[in-house]
Amino acid sequence: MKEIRSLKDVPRESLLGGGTSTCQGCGAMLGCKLLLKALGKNTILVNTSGCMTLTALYPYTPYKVPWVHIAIETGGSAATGISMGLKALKKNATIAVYSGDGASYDIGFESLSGLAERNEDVLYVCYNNSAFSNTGFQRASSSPWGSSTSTTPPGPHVPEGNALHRKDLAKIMAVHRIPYVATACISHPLDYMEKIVKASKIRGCKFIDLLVPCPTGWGFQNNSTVDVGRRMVDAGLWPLYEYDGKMKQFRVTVTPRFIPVTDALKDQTRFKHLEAQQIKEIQKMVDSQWKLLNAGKYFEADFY
Amino acid sequence: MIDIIDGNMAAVHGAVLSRVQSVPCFPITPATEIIETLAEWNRSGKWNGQYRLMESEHAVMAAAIASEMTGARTFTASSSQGLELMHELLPIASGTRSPLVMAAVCRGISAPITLWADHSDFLSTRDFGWLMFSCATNQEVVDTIPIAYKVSENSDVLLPSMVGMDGFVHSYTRSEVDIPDQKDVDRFLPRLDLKVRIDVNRPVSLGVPATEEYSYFRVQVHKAQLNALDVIHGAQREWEKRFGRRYGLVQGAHLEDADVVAVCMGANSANIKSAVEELRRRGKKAGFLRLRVIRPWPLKEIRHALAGAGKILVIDQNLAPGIGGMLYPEVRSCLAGDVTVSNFVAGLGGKPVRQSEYTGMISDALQAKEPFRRFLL
Amino acid sequence: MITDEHGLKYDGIKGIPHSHHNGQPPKTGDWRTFKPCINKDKCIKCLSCFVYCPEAAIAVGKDGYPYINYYICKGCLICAAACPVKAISVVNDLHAEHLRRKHD
Repeated sequence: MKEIRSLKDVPRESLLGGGTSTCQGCGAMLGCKLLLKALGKNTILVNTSGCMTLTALYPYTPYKVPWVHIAIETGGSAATGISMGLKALKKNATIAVYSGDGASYDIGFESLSGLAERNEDVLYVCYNNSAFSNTGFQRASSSPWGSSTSTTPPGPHVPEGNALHRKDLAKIMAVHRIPYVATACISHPLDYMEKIVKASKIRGCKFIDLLVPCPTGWGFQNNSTVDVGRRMVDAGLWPLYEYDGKMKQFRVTVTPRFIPVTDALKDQTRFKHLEAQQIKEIQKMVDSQWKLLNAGKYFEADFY
Repeated sequence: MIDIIDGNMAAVHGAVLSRVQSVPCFPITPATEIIETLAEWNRSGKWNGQYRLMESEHAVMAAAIASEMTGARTFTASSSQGLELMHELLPIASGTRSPLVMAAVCRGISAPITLWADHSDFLSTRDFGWLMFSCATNQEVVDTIPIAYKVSENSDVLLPSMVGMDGFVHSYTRSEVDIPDQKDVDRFLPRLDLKVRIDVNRPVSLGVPATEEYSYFRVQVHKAQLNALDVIHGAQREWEKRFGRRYGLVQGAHLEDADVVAVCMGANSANIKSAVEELRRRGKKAGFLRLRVIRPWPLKEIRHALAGAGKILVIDQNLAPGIGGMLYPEVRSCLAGDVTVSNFVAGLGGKPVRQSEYTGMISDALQAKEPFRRFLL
Repeated sequence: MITDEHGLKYDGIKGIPHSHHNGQPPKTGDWRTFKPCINKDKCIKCLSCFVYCPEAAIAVGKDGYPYINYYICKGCLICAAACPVKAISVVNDLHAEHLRRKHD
């Protein structure tokens, strides 16, 4: 796989045929497109039930690579099965899982943990729109504090909407001692694709938590997907980093400009209900998180 | 080669003789020794396949389906709670037409949790489109696994199979088994060549959602099950030619002039056959029918076996609370005309049933003017 | 019973539920309310639109310019937002063919 250093290096061949049922401006669709461009033809894509499942609706499929869907919680286990089958038949291909955050953080967590614990040679990309989006945007353990979802609507008893902090899945994966863990965002495609190319050269389990803004769920205009993602990264709300499991080294790959969090959250309907006090809380969380990250203290930092 | 082995070991021989290439697995009593032996053989080089300990039975079945989709012959084993946990994925295995084989060591289901044999776990999966074979001896286990692969992988069928045996009574009890030669099984069972599979050179999307066509695909699974009836006959005829052991879809005895027939499945069928023979010695015209294939339901064979008997007793070693034994309605609905069909639910959770219980119940069924349902508590 | 190209016998469409990627995709171009149009005079061939299009509806021609596949373009307009020189204009697509047909 060639290095992807600039937009001109992005492979021209498309492994997606379009005509999918995803929303206009779907961040997850963009994430999938970039994943396949970085990996190339010799890839088997494992899907779990979620937004991306209905892209292939009988008799059509947009995928020009083998694509497999079994059930929502089977991302890790199906990838293991394919890995076993390929080894038994002495065949070689890159196995990538493209699974939603609901399927990875919650229902498929057991299977993802098993995949990491066995250190299977699989690249697992979690497209994170911070909720169970396909069913109408319900709270998942990936939903950030203060996010309104259909199961955590703000009200007099719980004014912040979602009162629980999200699980830090990338860090949990790092503690599984897998060789490579990273976060990415579709607003920074070169950073994302570089990480995919780097990961695909490593043998063992690799995990990327990819932030994919969701116009339908987060509540913004369909043309702003990339812009919203960029602002989430620039406010420090979604650190872009990689963790080298072998060398135990943490490295921030994109330094944010640290715009105020309110600039990142203001155009998203899911945060519309937040009062100034609550936004200040979020700003405090982000500031203390970055104090530790800038000092290289990855494991001590509580991610927003 | 004759050896004295238990049912779990017989399952291992059956799988290794079938040249299985991929075994994702998880331990559960009373099937654990199957995966322990495969681990030993894998590490000693006696069996060279892919072996993975998965994090749960649900993960096992997902990995088994995915592994089968790549075109590698896949095998696994489970029981009771494990089988229950797999329920979400069992119809996915049959719906995606993945011809894997699973050894189902029958054990009663929780709650209360128990370890001993009953068929509730095995039969509770009968709606999921799998082919289901029920073995009565360890010999049958060794023979049925290659037969199951042959039938499952047939292009008119392409459905997964479950090979059932009783926990403890088969799985941990040793008996004499003639283990077939690898060369002979190779001639019976060729290498797997799946036409629709995961292949980077011919990319397809598997497990796709469907809207209107869903109904069509589900009916295709049913049609494949019906195709399997002939395919099973063919495979078993070939097995008999090569190995000298004959199997049918059912196993009957003393049926020609029987007035009452006891219908059953599993290990207790041996005791029930003894009970029938005891009744014959007492002058009662009793007959015996063991169901070996549960899915596809052998309608013709059952009707033929039970024609002429006015009284039937279905002995269920399983329970569907709210209706009764699971085999009862399936047998009853095969039969037209003036037959009195009664139900005896006995042996749940491996509860030992004395032969006198069976002879008493079969005699009662013979006398019964109205159908009854009795339980051995 | 029909025998398909894989040797599988079934009656009806197909035995195994799977999809091949061949033929025309569903016409998601019908989703558009607005249509992005690339102005080649302004375009600097940076390929931002090509990279950021979620549907892979923009391809790069032999001349290095991006071209939009209007059959599948859903009109999300991310390309127009991403273009650094504002070379992509947004045109009202409400009088598109499919809507005209509906009113006839």
